[in-house]
Amino acid sequence: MPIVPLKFRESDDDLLLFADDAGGYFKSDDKFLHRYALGQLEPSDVRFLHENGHGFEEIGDLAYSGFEHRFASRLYVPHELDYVILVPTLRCNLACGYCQVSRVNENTPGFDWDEETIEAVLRFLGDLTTRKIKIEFQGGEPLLRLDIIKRVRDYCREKFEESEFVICTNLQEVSFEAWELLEQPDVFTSTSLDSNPLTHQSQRTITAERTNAFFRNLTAAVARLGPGKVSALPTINPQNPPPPQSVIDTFLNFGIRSIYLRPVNYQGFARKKFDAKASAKIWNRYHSSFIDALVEFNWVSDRPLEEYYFVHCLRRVLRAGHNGHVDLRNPNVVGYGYLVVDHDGKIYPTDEARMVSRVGQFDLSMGDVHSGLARDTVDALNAEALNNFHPDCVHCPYQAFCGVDLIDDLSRYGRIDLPKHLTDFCQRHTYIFDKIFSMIYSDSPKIQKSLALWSGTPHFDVALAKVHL
Amino acid sequence: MPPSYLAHLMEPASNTTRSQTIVPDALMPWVADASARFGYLHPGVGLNIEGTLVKLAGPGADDPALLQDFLFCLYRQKIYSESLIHRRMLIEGVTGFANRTT
Ligand code: SF4
Repeated sequence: MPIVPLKFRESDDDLLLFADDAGGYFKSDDKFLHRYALGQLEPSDVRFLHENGHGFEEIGDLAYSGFEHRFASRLYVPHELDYVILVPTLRCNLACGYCQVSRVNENTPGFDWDEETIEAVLRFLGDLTTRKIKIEFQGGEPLLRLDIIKRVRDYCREKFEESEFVICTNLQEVSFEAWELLEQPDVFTSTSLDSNPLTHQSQRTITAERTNAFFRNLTAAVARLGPGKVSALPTINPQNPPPPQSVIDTFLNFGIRSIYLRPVNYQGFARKKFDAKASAKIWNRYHSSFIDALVEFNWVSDRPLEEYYFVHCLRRVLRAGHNGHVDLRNPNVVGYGYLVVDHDGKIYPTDEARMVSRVGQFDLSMGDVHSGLARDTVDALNAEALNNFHPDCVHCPYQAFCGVDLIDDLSRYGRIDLPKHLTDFCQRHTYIFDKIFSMIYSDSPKIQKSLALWSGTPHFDVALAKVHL
Repeated sequence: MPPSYLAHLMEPASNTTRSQTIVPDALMPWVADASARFGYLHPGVGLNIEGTLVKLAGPGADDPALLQDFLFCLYRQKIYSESLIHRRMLIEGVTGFANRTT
């Protein structure tokens, strides 16, 4: 019986994790590996592989078609453009230490859309064929251009059957009109909440007065809009991270139960300086301790907490079709399903591409709202957006769950052909999937409770931890 | 400890750490590819191949996990090359460029 290609990796219990290209996985030992690799499978091996969807009799039979279907459903197919990030201004009323390339001072002229650009953006949106649209306003501080936000909002409400708006604001100064806008049912608020007041102050607000203003506004936002309409993202300095419990306490305080931990995103020179290989290790260690703290918390709490990206990766392991995160898709085709329009009307495939272009590393723009889309550069990148034949990923059992982030590679290393294991992307994802599988194969009831909560099932199914010995 | 079929032999200690293993005949065709991959995964380790004998030298070369990793590279290359046709057919099939007669 032909066996689909199996990739393998050592795990922390002396067994090997095997996985196929469709994301089917199990654990076995090195004796099985030897038998498999040398074509000496025993009847019990063949039976196990067949029963678990890793084998077929001939191309086109039911077992093969099933595998083909599972394989296909793991791939990301870009849909029509229905998600646009707009940067109406680069001006900001804060000066966070690690945000130098994506902001200018509040009173600097020339970094806002002019009337011509506003009209071109509306024309650009008007040409979209989608019936639903999601618009995310970023900056700078977008609330400094409430007038533009309102014009875009009014236009979209007219043009599309369904519109959703996300305002990414620092919540530093929120006027009466801004609250009115944020309270609209189709408007969502996203802000940064750096772990705890002390860290937030040292990384962002600098003075006690500004820190208090932010926390007052966040409290008001949760009260007025409801926690379901406010998301807050902590930016963590991996070199000096806050204790996990203090992050948990802060978010609980505001009733926010999904925490998306992000390491500081340095750009340009600072990125080179801080992104030594060790920093992925430090980050992974911190992240792992955070997940452990969440497991402890969930064990005794009846209202669970999650780390957003970890849960996203877990769901990608357990099910196909979780392609909602733009940094983790395969193939990670950019420039189609969503776009970024910068303060000068230039269009970029991702926010990271905007940064890379802004610091002068590469020009990853794809036209502008005046003259239209020009996809040549990103299409050249897209040709490399699939991990299935990558010389490293092709041996990795996590390939079906993982993805590609070429713009991250470009921005960190200036190239996309570094051996994967040397990239930050691979180091972070190898760690995350190692952690996920060590949890799936754990018999700790605490871990199993969190896994069930995070995967959206009433109980952890032990059948998810298959072993063939 | 590495698996018994590694036929793993430790050389006496000298100024640089060494270890060696015999490659099973069935894996010999993949020694060149596996060596290239092993070389970039472990750039600090010297690799010397004499017939079926593979010698590792350099800091940490006596770590059994390193020999195991070399063997894993061999297995991976064999699995990869033998399943390449299947993998190509699969991706061609789902992306609409199927040519299942080849
Ligand atoms: S990037 Fe790394 S973790 Fe992801 S599939 Fe490739 S080798 Fe595996």
